[in-house]
Amino acid sequence: MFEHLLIGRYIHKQSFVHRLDPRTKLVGVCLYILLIFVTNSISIVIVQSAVLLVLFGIARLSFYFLWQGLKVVLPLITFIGLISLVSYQEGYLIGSVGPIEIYSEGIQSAILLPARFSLLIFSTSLLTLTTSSMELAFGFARILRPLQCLGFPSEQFSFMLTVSIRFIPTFLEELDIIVKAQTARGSGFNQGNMANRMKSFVSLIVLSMLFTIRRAEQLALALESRCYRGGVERNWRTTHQMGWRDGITAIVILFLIMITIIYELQKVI
Amino acid sequence: MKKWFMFWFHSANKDAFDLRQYFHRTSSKTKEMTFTAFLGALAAIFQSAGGFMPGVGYLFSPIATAPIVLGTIYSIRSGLLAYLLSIVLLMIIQPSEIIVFPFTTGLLGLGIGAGFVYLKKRITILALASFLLFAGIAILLYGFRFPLFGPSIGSAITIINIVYIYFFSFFYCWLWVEISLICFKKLRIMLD
Repeated sequence: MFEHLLIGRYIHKQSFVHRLDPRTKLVGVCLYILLIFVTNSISIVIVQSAVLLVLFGIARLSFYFLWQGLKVVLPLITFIGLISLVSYQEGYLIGSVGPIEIYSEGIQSAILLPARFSLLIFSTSLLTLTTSSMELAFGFARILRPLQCLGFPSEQFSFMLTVSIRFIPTFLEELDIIVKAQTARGSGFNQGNMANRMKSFVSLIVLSMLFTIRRAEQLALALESRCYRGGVERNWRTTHQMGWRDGITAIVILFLIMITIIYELQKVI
Repeated sequence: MKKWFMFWFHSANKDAFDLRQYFHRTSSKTKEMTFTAFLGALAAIFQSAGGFMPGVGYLFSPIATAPIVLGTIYSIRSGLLAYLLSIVLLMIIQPSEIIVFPFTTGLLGLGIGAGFVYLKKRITILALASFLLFAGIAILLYGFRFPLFGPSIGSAITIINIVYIYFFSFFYCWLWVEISLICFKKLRIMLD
């Protein structure tokens, strides 16, 4: 049932993007996502897409992964595009199909919204395809470190991230068993009236929560019996240092920020 | 009338309080961390179910609220960490859900959990959670222009749209508060 889920799709290669510091990749992707949502211009989105495609090429990743990421959400993206096309009634009238009127703003939104959504998926895919889960945990721990002075447990957060990634397959197996057992008992999740469906979902929630509590207790006991103490800062087995590649990436990101700001300011003036 | 009044204004957090007591009785720093990590993973799995199980999977997505509620019952800190962890995990396993989870299911979980911890009456819990869900939906709809409700509610800000969204948020939250209460009761019995 859950076998189609790809977790930690890291593909080991020795490319420019793979060798980037995880912090650079994380900050870069976050800024990139921010930029794709800030801009309302199709030409800027084209530039942003071109940069991402070049990075995919540099990372020597098959474009098949782009398609793989996209095909799952393709119906949703198409739906969003169509909704945007018919629901926006701003700008000038382009034409009408029966009672549906299509405006210039509608066409722009029908291009921009699915493009934003696709770029969001592609950029995060690039991050996860070129960064292992351990590197991600390291990156998060280091990026969030300044927040420690505000009480944010950055080291604990990265530990929790590593643990949760490790246990996702186990959870999927357990959930699969629960869902199959419930279905065998006749409580279908997508059949019957509302009350029966609710009962099935309540059972699923309660059993999965119970399983989570038990597992957490077992793992905590196993960790503590090996003298692990939660909340204490720990060393990393491998650390990363920023280099010239990170400098080049920072320049590319700054370039993207600059052109977005200049373009948006021009529109305001 | 009195029954109706009692339903909304009577204390509704007894089971949540008992569950919180159970957690705190058996708690340690390591257990809190593992529990939060697992809840974050579970929320991410439920939220991303639509992506890897097209069709029926979308029915599981709303359940992503439950782990965040339980995390917040444990402690507000755990709830917040589970919420953040789920966002990061979604970025890894199902990036398309990053937009929806933080503003709807996740935020609702935090709201209901915080309501059970800090507020007593059903109506006040609902008011807090529905306000948070309403704010999240408004950000998605008017900030990101994400057509959350399809063509029925567009991105134009009108009073009627706002009223519809708030009523929907209130009804959805009420449903979730009732589901949470049933789950707390069952979970408490099973844990005892």
